[in-house]
Amino acid sequence: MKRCPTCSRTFEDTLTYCLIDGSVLSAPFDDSSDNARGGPTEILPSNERRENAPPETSPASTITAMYQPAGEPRLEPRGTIAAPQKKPYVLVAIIALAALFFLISISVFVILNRASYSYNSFLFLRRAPIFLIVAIGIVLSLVRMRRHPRASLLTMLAMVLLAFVGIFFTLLLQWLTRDMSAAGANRFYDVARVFQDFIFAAETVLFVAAAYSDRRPIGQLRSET
Amino acid sequence: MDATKWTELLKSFLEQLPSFLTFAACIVFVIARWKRYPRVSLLLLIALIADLLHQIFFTILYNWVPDWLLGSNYDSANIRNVYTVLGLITNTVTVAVIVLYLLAIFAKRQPSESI
Repeated sequence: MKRCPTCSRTFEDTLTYCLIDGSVLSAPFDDSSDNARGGPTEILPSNERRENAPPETSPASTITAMYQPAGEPRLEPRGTIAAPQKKPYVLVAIIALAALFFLISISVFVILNRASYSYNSFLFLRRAPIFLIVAIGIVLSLVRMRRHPRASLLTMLAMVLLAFVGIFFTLLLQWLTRDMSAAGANRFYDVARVFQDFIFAAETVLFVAAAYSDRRPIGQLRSET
Repeated sequence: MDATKWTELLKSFLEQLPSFLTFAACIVFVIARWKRYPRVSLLLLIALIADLLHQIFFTILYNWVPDWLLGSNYDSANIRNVYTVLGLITNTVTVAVIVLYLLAIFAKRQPSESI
């Protein structure tokens, strides 16, 4: 048997650290000499130990070194929390700016050369920055989904709405009004613009909700640290 | 600008009334949350005000600039080019506003904040 010098509990010889406080156990000793403390320590067979043990009273042997007394800030095992990432933001911003610059350059070049592209391609070109930020936003949400699931989900929903508006107003609206008279098409466009504005309003609400979700108030964070 | 232009401008603003009301509500909400989440609220407030100004500014711009640039030269290629450049500028500014929203959503989050 081994004994913990801190809490005086006894353990099997196979253990090195105390299951309660993580201290290094003393050298093996004979448990028959320990009867003065109220009888021998009961040692359960290894396959029964988990079933008979009271729930969550003793941590598993793999986390013995991580035991923290109540009241102290809880430490997580190494490797479970990634360090705060700042570089990806810079990288994403640089890629986005480069892509935007590229798109604007191409569009200016196309306009100056008066190339005979279809009207739809010009409509897509106008909304190209939006499609780009939608792609970036969706990728960012997917990357952050594990760490901030609700915020990522709300952001992704807003991005999908933005993409829907982009596609709807580029292709679908033209297709829907192709057989309409000019006056009818104008009325339809008026209704579509109001509809688009409702979607923008929904997006704004989603962005605001995403910004506050999965967050703790500043006072709570300070008291934890 | 003549009376027709003013009417068109008013109509454009009325069409955007839902988002204007949403901006107002969101700004009030953000200010109400300022004490608990100061950094997020600041970023959100900047984004919301930028978004609101963007909508007002580009509504006026779309009403005024095409006529000013085109004058009486209503060639289809000219109209297409003017609206393409205006659209690109508008959407690039929109992207900047969305970047502000994304910053407010994901920046300065503690890893332990995920619930």
